[in-house]
Amino acid sequence: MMAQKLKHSSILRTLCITSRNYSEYKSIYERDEAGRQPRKVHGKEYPEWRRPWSQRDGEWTSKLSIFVEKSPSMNVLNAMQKLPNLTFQDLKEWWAEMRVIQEIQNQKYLPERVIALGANLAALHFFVYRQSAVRLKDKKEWLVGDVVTLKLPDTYRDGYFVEAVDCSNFHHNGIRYEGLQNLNGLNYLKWLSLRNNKYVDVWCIDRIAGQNGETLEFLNLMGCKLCAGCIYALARMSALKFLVINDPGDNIELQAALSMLEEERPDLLISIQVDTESDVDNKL
Amino acid sequence: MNFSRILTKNIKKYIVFSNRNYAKFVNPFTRTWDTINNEIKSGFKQQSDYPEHADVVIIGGGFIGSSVAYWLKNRAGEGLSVAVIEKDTTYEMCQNMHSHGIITQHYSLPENIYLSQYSADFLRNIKQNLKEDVDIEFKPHGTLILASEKYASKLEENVSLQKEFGISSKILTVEEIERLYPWINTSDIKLGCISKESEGAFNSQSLLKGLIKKTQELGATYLKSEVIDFEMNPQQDILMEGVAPGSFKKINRLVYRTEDNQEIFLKFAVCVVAAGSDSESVAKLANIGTGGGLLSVPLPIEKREYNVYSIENEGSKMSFGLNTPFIMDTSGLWLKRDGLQKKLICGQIPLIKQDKNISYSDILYSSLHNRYPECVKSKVKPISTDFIDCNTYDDTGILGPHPYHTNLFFATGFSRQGVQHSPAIGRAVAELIIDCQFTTIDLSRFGFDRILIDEPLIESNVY
Repeated sequence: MMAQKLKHSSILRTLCITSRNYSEYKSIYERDEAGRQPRKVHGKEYPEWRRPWSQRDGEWTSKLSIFVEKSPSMNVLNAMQKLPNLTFQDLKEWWAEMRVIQEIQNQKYLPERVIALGANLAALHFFVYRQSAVRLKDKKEWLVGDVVTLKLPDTYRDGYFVEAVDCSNFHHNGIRYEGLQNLNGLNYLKWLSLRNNKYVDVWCIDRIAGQNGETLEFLNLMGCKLCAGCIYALARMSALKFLVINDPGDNIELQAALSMLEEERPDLLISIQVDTESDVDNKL
Repeated sequence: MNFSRILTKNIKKYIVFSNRNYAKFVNPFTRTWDTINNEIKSGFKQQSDYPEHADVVIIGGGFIGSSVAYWLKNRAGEGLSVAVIEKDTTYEMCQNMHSHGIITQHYSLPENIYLSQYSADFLRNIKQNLKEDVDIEFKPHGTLILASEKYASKLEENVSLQKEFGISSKILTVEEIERLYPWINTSDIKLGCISKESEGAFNSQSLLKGLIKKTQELGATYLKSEVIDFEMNPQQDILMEGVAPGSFKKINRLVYRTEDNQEIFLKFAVCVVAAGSDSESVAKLANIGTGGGLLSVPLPIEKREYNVYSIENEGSKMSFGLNTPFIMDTSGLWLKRDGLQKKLICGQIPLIKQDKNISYSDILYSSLHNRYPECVKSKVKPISTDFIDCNTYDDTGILGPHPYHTNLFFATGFSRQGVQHSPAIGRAVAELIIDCQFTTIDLSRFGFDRILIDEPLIESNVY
């Protein structure tokens, strides 16, 4: 594991440019001088069987054509077309969509974080800074806190193994599908609580089953969107011993699936609990 | 006399033939005045309810056709008028498709990997993309691919390729397969592969219904008709590579026969052929396969049928549990559990080359007995006949414009991947039409050109 620091390099280095810019975005003059490149599709050359008429022998095109840029983006045209009919409701919906996109981006799995810190420590950073509690292996206390109060190591340290994650208080209305990818690589994760995370559905449980199914022993799914398909994902979790869910209610298929799961796995204890504690307000 | 006749003819050209006028005002006087006004404006002619012009016509309203219509309307809104021509609105041909509602991430071509990744994303967010009440009932049981000695190394290569694209799949050794799924006979298997997420079964019917409803809500027109012919106009001034100068004929209009046997001309800018197994006959209407030069290569899509059988266990003791993935065998046999019920569904992938001497049921029974030895105790009976549009050239879909008819796009031949990749394919065709290039997933290698230059694109992870 490369020990990369999270701190930025000093300012002095940026003042003296010591390397060339080999970026892909060459200027139009450079692109024209390089000439016609063979077309590549997914890394392999695409066999062109015909050439555009303007590139045949004897045809002439003006050199000024290198200044011809692409036509305006179709998304811009689509937005302009909707302008006369714009209502306040449209703006509100657009803003809500933007908030959702922001939240998903915030919860994305960052490979840079994992390279710098290692999977366990990266998960620790992720969950603790989003107001959930994490417990490490061989320790009794839960790590809860903020960036300011809790000082977590900013480089890779040995010995940090995440054993339990409690996402009941996850900020901004709960963890999402993209956020669950941060549980990837946690080889000692035994205990997971996704209580009150209303965005957890079949796809999320499927992801957990694939990533952590071999070591996870306790799973709390109260307040999540359960359906009959979730049971298939739960059946894939070979190490699961204790499952806590809400009352399935009128959903007959879910009840049938749960009873089949119980029958098949005698060592799995399914506990149906009612949320008696006052609804934990996820702070915005 | 002549002059006035010419004058009226010229005037009639500019009069707009609008469709039926619905009442916009509540006040009866304004309503009457409005209706009479519109009638006068259109010259007291008999309006036909059927459209005579559309910007984009999609032949075939199944999964791919509806998906293309959805994406076109999503991106262009009122800017493009889309008409979908479907000859069987009860979708009898699409119902009971037991084998078609599967998502899998096991592919070896980068295009297919991107397609399945995007389709899984689309299905996961289907409530935002389509309507709130669409429930595709995703059952994430995973898909297990079994490989014999011959294919083991290829499977490993494919898994490492998939890792580069972000798909984590696990290779299972024979011992692990025997431990997890003890009811499978592993004597001739070397390796198995199962993916960790987004693989399983879903309800394809609700996907289709959701797509159609949302597309109609966005403004596309669905017509219950059958395409009879294309009308080609000669255009002597067009020069095209591979075409003798002065002989080019452009398709401008198509003729469709409606329910009440009216034959109506429909003028379009772009036509998308997404007709599944009937695509070849539609292409023949445009002289593809019967003409000369570029038109001499026919569309190699044929219909393949296969039976789907159910294996019912008489006794109550089952050897397979809830953790039963969709198993793809080395012989082309696939097995899956029928929901929560105690029976298995199986079928055999049809051969690309049809051979009358081989009986499909024999092949199926022998491979079934080999893989699931306990099936001798159970009843095997056929429940339905599924069919697919098979590309007999290289078993991969055809997507893109025809080299001669540049306003005729194909989106067919995806065989069993058609349903699961339909959202991504629809988006690709919409990008071709609106942006004139692929912007998200580059599917240029799926074009019709590969049939002309004889470069088959073979997907090696699909048996």
